[in-house]
Amino acid sequence: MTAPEQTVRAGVRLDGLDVGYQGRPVLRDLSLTVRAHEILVVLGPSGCGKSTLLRTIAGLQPPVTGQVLVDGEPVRGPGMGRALVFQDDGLLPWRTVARNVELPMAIRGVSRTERRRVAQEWIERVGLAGSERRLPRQLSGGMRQRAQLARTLAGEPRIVLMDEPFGALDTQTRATMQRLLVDVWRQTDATVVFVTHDVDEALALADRIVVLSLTGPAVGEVVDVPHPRTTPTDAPETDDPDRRRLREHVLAALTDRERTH
Amino acid sequence: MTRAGVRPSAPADVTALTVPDPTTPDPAIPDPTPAVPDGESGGTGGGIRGRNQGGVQGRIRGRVHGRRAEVTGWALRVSSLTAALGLWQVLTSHDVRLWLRFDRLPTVVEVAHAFAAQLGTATYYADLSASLGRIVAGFGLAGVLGVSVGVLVGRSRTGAHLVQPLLEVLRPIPAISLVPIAILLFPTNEQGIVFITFVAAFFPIVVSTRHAVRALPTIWEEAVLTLGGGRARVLVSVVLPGILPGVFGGLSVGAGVSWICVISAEMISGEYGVGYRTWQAYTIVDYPGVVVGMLTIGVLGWLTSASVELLGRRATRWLPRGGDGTRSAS
Repeated sequence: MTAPEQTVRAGVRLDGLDVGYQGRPVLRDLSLTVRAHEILVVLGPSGCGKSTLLRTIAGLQPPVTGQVLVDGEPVRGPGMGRALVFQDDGLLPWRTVARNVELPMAIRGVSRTERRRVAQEWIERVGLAGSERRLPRQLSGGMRQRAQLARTLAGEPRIVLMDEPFGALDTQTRATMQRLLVDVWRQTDATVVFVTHDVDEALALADRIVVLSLTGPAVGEVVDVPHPRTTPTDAPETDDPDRRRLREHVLAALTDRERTH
Repeated sequence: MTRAGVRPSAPADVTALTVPDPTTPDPAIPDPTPAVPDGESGGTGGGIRGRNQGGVQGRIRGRVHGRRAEVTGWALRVSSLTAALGLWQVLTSHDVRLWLRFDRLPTVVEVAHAFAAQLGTATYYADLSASLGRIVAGFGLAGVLGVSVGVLVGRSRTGAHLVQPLLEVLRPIPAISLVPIAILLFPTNEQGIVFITFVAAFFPIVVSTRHAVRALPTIWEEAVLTLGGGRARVLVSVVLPGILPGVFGGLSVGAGVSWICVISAEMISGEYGVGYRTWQAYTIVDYPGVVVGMLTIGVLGWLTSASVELLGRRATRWLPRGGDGTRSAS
């Protein structure tokens, strides 16, 4: 069916997904393929079901109909390999940074010395060296998101689901974090599904952008980003006319969908 | 927030505005090991010094003012206690009868003498350890069972259906009214008293544990689930640590109530213990002894609740508290 290389890496397929809470539909007939080792950005206004989509892929929210396939295997519940990164931090407040980063390895039963070593590596990689023994409440918002990123990737997930992880950060920290994400992502095999409502963030990160709308068939346009990750969000006005045209195009797709439904 | 989707060039403007300060490192440069917490290093050049000076002066003024207020506070507290003791001494030593019959009460000096005398006897310490032992057994059992049942009811729907009706029926019954039942049910009085102490502390602990479990934000549980954790892992790594603040609230209340009940139970059916001794002092017309017993009970109760409080603070250091709590270590 698939090339051997693709079975090693994770790919996600969403098949005619209907998701809702208490009879109220949030996503309708959504079909989508996430390619292995890409950054797919899901772009849409607040309340369009972006978070629900991630929770469904994570297995926290079972679909009413349809299914989520990871490497051809249907998802039946939350589990290792599909890690969710939250906007407000999901760090356990009673654990230090180091012990938070060790958590996924502790769950897998990695020995104490080994998980200390790996956690330290990740902490250094995300630029938190020196803060190992701090509690989450002693960190700034940006540092907490760094710690969350380290914890997520220390679990070696095949799929990283990011729910507006930088939404609460100021513009500069945000740009730094986007660069950091791309940087560490390149060192892993992970596939990233990144949710945001910010067009520039989408353009800065994505291989492909999926535009969601408030109502109607959930998937709108899927936009390929030709030269991914060449535009930092803090400088979206590049001289590249292709780039500017792409931005206009995505914006139009987004506003069109908001207007027509 | 929602504005962001239709923002044409705001990020570029923001960067242009904040960059000019050359003394702070530009956080937009991808530096994997920033010395300053990102986002807090924002470039606000000259304003910083002036503002800090004002801040320091303000803080010093605040500190001096605070120390003076503290001294006055202590003076007031000490004088109110001394005044109460003095009033007690005057009323009792002059055998005042103002409807309330102070002539029958012991004076402060008598009580002090009786206390000093009792501190030298073995009985005093035997009673003390008897009561403490009952508290440790009853309250300890209530702590373990109360938290377990509270977690069960809070986490499991079946558990809630099975246990909650029972709890709701039994909860309104004051523990002390169970004394006759305890006497009938248990082979020895000792076990009966521990039972009463247990019941007294059990309910506040169950109720606050259940509340704490239900009030726990789901985000931590979901984080652990998506990192591959199962039910047991969620219980150990999320639920138990997460409910501690609420549980300690229940333990505090429970400790207080269990002291009330152990003393009452001892007065009714004890053979020794501080409560028993206090009541016995009354029956043999040793009124200073009664007050010594009361004071002993007060001190014991205070010590227990203070140690529960201390334990709770140590166990929940991660909670954001006012003052130094939000300050970072560097």
